[in-house]
Amino acid sequence: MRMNGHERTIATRRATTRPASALFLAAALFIPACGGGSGTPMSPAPVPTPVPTPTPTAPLPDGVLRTGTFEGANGYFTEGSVAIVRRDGAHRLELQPDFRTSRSGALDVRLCRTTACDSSDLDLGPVEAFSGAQVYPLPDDGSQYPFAVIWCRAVALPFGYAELQ
Amino acid sequence: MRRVPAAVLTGILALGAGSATAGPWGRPRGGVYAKTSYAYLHATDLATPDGTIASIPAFEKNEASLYVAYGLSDRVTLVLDAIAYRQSGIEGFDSAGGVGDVRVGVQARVGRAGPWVFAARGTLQAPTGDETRGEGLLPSGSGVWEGDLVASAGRSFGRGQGWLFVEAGPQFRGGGLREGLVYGAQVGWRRGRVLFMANLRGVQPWDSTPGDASAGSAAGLGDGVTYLAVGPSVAVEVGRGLGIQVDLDGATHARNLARGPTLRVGLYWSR
Repeated sequence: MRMNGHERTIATRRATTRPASALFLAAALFIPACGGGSGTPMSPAPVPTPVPTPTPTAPLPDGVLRTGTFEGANGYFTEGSVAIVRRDGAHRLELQPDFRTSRSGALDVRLCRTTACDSSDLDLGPVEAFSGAQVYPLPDDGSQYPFAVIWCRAVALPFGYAELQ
Repeated sequence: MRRVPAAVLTGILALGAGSATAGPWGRPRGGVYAKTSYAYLHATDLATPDGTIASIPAFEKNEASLYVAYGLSDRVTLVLDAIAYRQSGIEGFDSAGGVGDVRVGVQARVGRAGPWVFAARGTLQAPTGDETRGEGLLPSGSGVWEGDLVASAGRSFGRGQGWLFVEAGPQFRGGGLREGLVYGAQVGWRRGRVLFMANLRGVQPWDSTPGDASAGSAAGLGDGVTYLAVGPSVAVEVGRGLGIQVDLDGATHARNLARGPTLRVGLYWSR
């Protein structure tokens, strides 16, 4: 079976961490057997303290993480597609060229847990244009948010949303 | 045929201030009617472009209006209807205000038939307000030239103590905003110095499918605005051509505006 890039990264990381983990386990078994609680006056032989060696993290591959298609809400018009993308190690939300929404003021792009956003959700800022391709930087991959929402800040209503899958 | 008394005309024109309805009766030559009024709207319902009613933070609108009608002749009346100041706000968002739009119109009596009077009115609205206030959601004007051509018919009854009229006509809107039909009706009755009126007015776009130009939705100045407003009015003559009028109405069959009761209080003068 062929591994994709992400699986290869995880396999590499496991292989790299195995010797350090084994050393740490051996040390943990040795210490109780030779010291604490045994009551013997003998001093245990000095044992080098195992220090987990930092594992170099391979950068995750670029690509599209999730996508969705907008539909209108509350009688407002929104259509087109959206994608969460990782590029050069950074995450971003991309509204695709087919994106269009209502020509209204106070519209924000948000990532939300439900289509009814609240203050704990992620506000990416005002919609830059009512149609066309746009890019909004993300602090992480936003995997905790199932919905991309076009949110009217003034009346606290979604004008459209896309479920990200 | 009994003519509608001047006092009744006063009440009818008073209703006209700040609304689409005025009736077919104009001012006599040299006659003047002036009214200044204040209107307050409070709403927590937003009628969205497809007619869905959604709960929103409290929306409030305050308007100060000036309405003047002058009789150029016994058949032709010149009308000025200006929103002197419009302020609106949404709780937790913003508040904005400014000079509103100005409307100028001419109404001409075009005929009589028995107790009925017929008139035509043309009105032009200049975009003197600012459509960009509050990120475009709290505008003081529509931002486009607008107008309407309305035909009206009315009559008196009950020995001149009662009256009624209906009127309707096309509404024109610039800037790509959808056009439609404006309409209104009123039934009134006079008892001593007090006039009682029941009013109906509305706007119905020719095309009511939700569009993508919903700016100004809460303020009721955007695209596809639809409503049917009904409510009572009471006017009291306090002497020497002066009177006080109170109107209350609420909208139904609404799209693309904040829906709530509107209270209007006005002071009018006529000679």
